[in-house]
Amino acid sequence: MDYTTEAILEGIETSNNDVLNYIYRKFFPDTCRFVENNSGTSEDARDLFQEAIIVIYRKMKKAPIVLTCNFRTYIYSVCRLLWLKKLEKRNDNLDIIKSDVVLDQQVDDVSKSYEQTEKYRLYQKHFKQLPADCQEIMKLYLEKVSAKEIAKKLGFAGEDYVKSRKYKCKQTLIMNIKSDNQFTEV
Amino acid sequence: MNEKNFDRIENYLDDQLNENEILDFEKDLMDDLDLEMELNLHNEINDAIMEEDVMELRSKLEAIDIPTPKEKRKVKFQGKWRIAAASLILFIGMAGIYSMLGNKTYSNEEIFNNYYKPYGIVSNTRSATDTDKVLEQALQSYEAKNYRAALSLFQTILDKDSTNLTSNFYSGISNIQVQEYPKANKNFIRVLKHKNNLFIEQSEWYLGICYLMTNEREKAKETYSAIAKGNSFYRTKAKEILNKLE
Repeated sequence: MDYTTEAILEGIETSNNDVLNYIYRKFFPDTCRFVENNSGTSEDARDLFQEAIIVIYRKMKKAPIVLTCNFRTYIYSVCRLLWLKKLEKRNDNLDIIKSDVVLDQQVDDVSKSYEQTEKYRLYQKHFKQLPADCQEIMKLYLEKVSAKEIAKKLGFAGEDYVKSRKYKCKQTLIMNIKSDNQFTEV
Repeated sequence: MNEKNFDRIENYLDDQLNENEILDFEKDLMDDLDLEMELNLHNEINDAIMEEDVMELRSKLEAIDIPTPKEKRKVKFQGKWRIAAASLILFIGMAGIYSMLGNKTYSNEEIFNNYYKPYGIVSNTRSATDTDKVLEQALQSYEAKNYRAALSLFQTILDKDSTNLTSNFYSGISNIQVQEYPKANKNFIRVLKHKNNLFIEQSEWYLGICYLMTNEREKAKETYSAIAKGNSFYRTKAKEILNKLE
């Protein structure tokens, strides 16, 4: 079964598993070939493709995307642009794809979104590695749930314990993020 | 970043500063670029934490199967682990039946079956450095309940840095899962020796489990008694275990 461009965009917006699988099956091989032919590996291609979908998702959260090309061209252009940025950072083989890229105006603004995606990916990676209670406390704090209620909800002794645990969790999270080699890159 | 400024930033973001403190803080922000950058970082991290939709999407994308040589190898191992898992279920089942038929005193195994469960984890981000990648694979194996595969990957990290806290903690749980209690004991003691980390309370709890399973009831009592006196999440359960042990 084939999906229309609109159905694919809607599928990304709703994280529809069938559509996501379809996107990988149908469009990933082009990106993989492109990355492998331009100083990258299949692992790089997989990372890049994943980030491209997240970049598109973020873009749609801000405003609906109306494409004047088909989805294959669009995602390929996004991947090319993102790969170019990666190579720029690495200071590597820019000529190879610069001379080849005709960037659609529609993918021009993905750069900003990509920078955010890269940064947040790093933060979320370290957040997910915290103990489960830390993740829970920090989320509830951000939802403005009081320390007293958090203590009650999670079965802790009292609000002082919640406060000190949240402090320690956040401190560890920031320390882990800062000591990640990727931190200076993003 | 000093502790005072860390506190100020967190309290500022949590609306915990009074009016004068807010004015002072905002004045300092104008003059101190480092403080401003640090506030931005805290802010961004808070935003990232709340992006559950993006984390869910990433996790779905991670789960999409693109066959690679590595994944093919994983498939070969699954059959073996299924047998191990089935044996474990059988063992737990047998232990359950035994405890139902036996007398009413609480055996170490009975406490274990009632109170032990492996620590939960959600790991779904792809990483750049080699150590991160190994840790990520290890956590994925752990999450998939492939405890022996996880142990061997954690060991790769521990060979380079025996104090790595995450690897020690999850190795400890994995060792419990494969019934290597003395090894698990060592893992948790390493975490506890570090003293200042987020896995202390969890490690104390699981260390008590190890003592039970190596039949060191006195040490288990000491461990659970210390937990019961504290404020941690495990204190109620620790009190229950103490009652059953005495």
